[in-house]
Amino acid sequence: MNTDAREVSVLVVDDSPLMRSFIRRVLAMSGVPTREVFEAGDGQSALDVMGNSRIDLVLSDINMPRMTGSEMMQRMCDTPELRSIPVIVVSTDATQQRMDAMLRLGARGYIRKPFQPESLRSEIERVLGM
Amino acid sequence: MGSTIISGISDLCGRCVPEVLETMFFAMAIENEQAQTSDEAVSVRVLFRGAPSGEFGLRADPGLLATLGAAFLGKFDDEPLTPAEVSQTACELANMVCGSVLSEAESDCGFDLDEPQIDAHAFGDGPPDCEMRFELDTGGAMEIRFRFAEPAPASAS
Repeated sequence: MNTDAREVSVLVVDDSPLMRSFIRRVLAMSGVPTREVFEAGDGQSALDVMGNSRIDLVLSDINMPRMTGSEMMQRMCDTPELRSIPVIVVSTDATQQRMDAMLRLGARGYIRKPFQPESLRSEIERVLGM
Repeated sequence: MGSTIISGISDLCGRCVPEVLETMFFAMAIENEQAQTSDEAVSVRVLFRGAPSGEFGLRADPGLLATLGAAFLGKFDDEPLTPAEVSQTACELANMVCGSVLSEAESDCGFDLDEPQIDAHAFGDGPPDCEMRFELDTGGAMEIRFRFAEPAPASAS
């Protein structure tokens, strides 16, 4: 395991406040060094957070009101300051078609719900090169 | 195609429901045709578009949902979940079960889920194509059902 202890700021994007709380709790237990955890209930709110705060990693659902995860990622690709922020998709949709589509949009990782906390940690470490 | 999906859905539900409950809600579930929810049960409807499209329903008693929600949120103190949190638990549970099943049943073509809705009539619009009941180790019962937009083909004579 990489011994780099760099703390990361994480943005959790999901329209379910319960799921955001769950992921926040899993992050706290995971051992991934986090500086701060931000939350957003949809893609547009997430973009607003990214515009105002330093974000090192985005964990995002796909189906959300106002702006979906796909639309958010497209906007991130189109924005120079945001396109380098890694995104891990967290979704109940585990079809290959969806996974391929999100990877084409630039997602660096994909976690299917339901997931074990260890899976989230492993995927974060893989994406961030920890 | 319809009858294949129906039999496949039952098997998938039998696997996916326990997986979701164990992984995210830390509860064990076994299929039990006799399991019954009460009149106070919370019902959730999830519409989906795929091949085929349809709707998913989930029903569980508020007490069970409060227990599952507390486990999901890591709330081990005496503070009870709010009614809103109980409803959110039901919706999140329905979202995950429906998504898990469809991810395998409709893996070739993909699907889209609508936002889960608390709906007292989620179990009242005619016979489902698949209906299952589960008994949980935490106490209480959960019912799920799928109904597809395409009618099942008639049996071969």
